[in-house]
Amino acid sequence: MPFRDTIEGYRRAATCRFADARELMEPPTRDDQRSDAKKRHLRGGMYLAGYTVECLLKAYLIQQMSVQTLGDAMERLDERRLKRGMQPVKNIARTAAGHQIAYLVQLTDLESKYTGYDRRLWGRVGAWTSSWRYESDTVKWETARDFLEDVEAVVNWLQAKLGA
Amino acid sequence: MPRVHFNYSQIEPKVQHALYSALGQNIAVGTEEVDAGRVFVKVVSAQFNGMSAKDKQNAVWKALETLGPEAQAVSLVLAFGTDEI
Repeated sequence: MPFRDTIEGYRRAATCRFADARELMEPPTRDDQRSDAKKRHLRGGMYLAGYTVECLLKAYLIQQMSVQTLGDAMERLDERRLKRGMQPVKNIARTAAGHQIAYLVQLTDLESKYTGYDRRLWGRVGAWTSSWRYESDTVKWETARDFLEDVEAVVNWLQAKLGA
Repeated sequence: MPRVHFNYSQIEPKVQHALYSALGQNIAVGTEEVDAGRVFVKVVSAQFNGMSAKDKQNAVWKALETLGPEAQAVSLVLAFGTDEI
């Protein structure tokens, strides 16, 4: 099914990327005897896991603004920000700003609306960057495990805030 | 829950002071105003090199919690070692 810039589109993408990330935490089936078999895909897993959070935040922003697409959500956010004398929102639908978890979460009302908002957790997950795709150094297994656990905590918390 | 508004120009120097007091002068701190006068913080320090993400967050929030209720003005902190940038 082609991607649609909607809540359901982002939710489906989030589910797929998190499944991909978890798969990359497992022992590989190709070249499984190589010395780096247990860790060569960990950075890839962390990279894909970050998109899970990005997608869910975009889905939440669409819901928060009571619109149908992320583009519409940006327009409505801009209207509100203009009234408050704030800078217009960066283009989160088509540019690098849309890959910044820290930026996206601070556009939401999650912190003010829910007491369960965990700033330390969001600080850890917010350190994710899409430029991890360029990194070739291996990551410690514990580092990747911790990151995916943090992403899972965000997924569990945020999914419950998204309507059925 | 109503959104609490903060005075960014008053709180931002306190945030900087809390971080430098607790973590020393050899850190780099970047701040940015976000919604409702809140402060978004980035901290880079060599003392974070090799630390887990949890330990880095614990270190910065331990410093920020010395602000008392005003720590609520900090929306998010990203903490990096110099080996990550």
